[in-house]
Amino acid sequence: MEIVLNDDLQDCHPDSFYVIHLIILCASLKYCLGASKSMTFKKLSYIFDNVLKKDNKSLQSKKVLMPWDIEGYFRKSLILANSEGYIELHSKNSMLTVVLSEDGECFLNKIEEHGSFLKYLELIKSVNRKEAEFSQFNIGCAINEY
Amino acid sequence: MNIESVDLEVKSLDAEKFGFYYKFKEGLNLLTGHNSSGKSTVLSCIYYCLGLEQLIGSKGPKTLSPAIRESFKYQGNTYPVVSSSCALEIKANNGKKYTLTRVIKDPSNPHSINNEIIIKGCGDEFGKYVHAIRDHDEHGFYRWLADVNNLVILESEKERGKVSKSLYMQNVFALSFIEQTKGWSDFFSMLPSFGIKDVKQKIVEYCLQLNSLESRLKLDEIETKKEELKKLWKSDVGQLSQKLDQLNFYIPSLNKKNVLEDKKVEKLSPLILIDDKECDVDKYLKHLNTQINYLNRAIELSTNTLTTNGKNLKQKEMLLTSIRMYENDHEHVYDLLTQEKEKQTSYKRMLFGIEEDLKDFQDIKWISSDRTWEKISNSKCPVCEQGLAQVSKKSISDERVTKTSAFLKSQRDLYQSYLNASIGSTKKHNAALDFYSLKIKSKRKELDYFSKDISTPSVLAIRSEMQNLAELNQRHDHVEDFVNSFKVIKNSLKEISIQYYGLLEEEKGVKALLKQDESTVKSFENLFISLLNKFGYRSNGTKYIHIENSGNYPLIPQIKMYGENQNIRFISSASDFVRSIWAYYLSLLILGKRHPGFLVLDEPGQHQMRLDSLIKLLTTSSDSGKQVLMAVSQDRKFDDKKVNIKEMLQELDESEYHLLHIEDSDGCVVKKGL
Repeated sequence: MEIVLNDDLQDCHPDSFYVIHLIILCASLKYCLGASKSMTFKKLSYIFDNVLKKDNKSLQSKKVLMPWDIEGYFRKSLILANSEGYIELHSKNSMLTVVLSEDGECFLNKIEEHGSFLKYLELIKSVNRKEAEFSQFNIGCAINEY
Repeated sequence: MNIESVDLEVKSLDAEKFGFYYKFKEGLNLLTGHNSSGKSTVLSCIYYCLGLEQLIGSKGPKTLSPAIRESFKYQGNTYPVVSSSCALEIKANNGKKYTLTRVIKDPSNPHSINNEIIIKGCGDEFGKYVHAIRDHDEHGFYRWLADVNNLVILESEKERGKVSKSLYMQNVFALSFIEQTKGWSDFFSMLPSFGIKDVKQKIVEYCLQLNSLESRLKLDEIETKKEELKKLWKSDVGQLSQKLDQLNFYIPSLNKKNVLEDKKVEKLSPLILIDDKECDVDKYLKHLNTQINYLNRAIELSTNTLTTNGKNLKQKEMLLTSIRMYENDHEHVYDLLTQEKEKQTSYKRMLFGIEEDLKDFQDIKWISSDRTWEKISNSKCPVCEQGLAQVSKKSISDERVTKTSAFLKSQRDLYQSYLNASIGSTKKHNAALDFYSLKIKSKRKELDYFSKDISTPSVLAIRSEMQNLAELNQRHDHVEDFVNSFKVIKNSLKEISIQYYGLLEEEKGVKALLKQDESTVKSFENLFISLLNKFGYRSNGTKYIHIENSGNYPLIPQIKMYGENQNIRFISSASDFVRSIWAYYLSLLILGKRHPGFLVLDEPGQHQMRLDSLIKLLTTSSDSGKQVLMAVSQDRKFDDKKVNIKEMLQELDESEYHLLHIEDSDGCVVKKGL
């Protein structure tokens, strides 16, 4: 499946949620890698779900991970994106890691040229989480005092 | 089960075919040849095709002779082995015939232990695997081997509901194989134990179908469950002790080590020492209430003349707002906790599915023949959730197996990590709920006093009472919280206690069953002794020999001398011990209700065995009604009239045995034609 961007995409949301998912996946793989060359399922699912929910707090906390949804659309969209060649799944120590493919990069460039989905892209660019935080992680619960 | 034939095929350079083919019959089969002619090589191929090579050494082809995997000599020339494989035809205990083929040397994969065995029979051909995890389950060879031979694979529940095998087929088939050197050094000397407790005893119990095996397995299971409950008890008591210490309470009869009976748990009551007097929680709460009421009255008397003003009204408003915010937060965390619990249930289900899929993909990795989606019975398409077995009957490529396994492993890792973290976060959520509850309570009490202005000079005098009151209130709240959580822990301890004492009762009942096998063991003992007499056992005579399912040597023959039981192995001569091994294995073959049904003896004539004993061994084997395969070295040329083989067979009619001979000039591996 090839996604063709129309001019009218500039100002409105597309009909298919999958396009948003694809943008989040591709942009996360471009802007949130840090020093790594690829991204693990855990980190990608955390960013994907929180960006989709626009949960700024969970994305901005530095060391603690907040609850997120690992099921949802993540697996399906990941498989579709892989089968259409926007991302690549590489095997590392018998586990898979995800990288952005050339097609994925092209697609993302087109989106950025159109200036669409700015809020999602800005949010993704602000994420600064390291892979190490996901190897053995804890889930936190915030406490407020008034 | 009977061995019908063994067929080795070795390809040398220029596709020249070598190998051997031996056909066996029911009853006694004698394989003869000079020393080092290849008798054991022929027998080792039987072990190998049944995935039982651990009974002669380790896993894979390296246990086999170099003549069938590296190079061999034939008519004075040395031939390299390019590829080789072996096919074994068996007639299983279900009456059907199957051919089992296993690769020995594959030039494209020279270091593989060749896990796959191809099974052909009943118009079907499929692959099963050995020597890998789950080789006793659905796609494993040993499950198939057990099923076609009407043998049971015993399972028992281990820690946390995990099921493990109590005896493996490699253990059970040790009843049928005696290897030529170490095999004669002890009963079941080549048996791989796989960490199974009392494995030799279990094999004999399995074979004779004694009640004690299932009973003892049950006892093991009970023991494991008891240990698990003790751990839970320890953890609950530890948690309770921590809370007791924080409040300076104690419960005298409670300790981490001993699980108390539920009636005693019911009576557990925390105490505190006040003015050197023991006081229970209810009394202590009353005591705190009295003090709180006293202080309340004192404060009320000092402040009832004061009037409210604008400042404290504003503060009151602020307090109300913060209470509302805490209530909102409490609700929010409660929702989060509920969501996490729902997620845990759903993710556990998902994880189970992923693990099942992964098992299937890991299993079929070992199988090349008939590797179709039908074998992956549980797998569903990750996108459309449709079952895959119905979608495609195509074969699954190696690349797909590897990639899907990696994908499923990553998925499993994600779900497992999240589940662990989520379960850990439950405590944090509960702590947050407690935090908000306490805050709401204390803010509400604070609110009560704001009906009075406590900052005016006339109230300053009662500041210390106010502080005391706050402390008492806090203490009161903590004790009340403790009373609630104590109820929960007490219920959990009661539940553990009921289960634990239920297991103790069950244990008593199972132990009583152990005594019911005496007649079976007695007939085993009688047959063993009668065979020993027949074979000419002389050391210490046979009247002191007995077999019992208890003591230091359960189900192993012992001799009672000078009031002490000793293992037959220690006080028999070398040749007499070999006779006792013959008698032991033959008794099990004849009496065994769960036995593979055949016996392979490699060089039974150990330690210059007397001829009359060997003759009796052959006649007994022939009369056993079961298939017995023996490899015996000849002491001179086979055609010679004085060759030991002819002397050994003198008491048997030609129809009572089947003689197979490896030619004196060549080894067992010979030319088979192009």
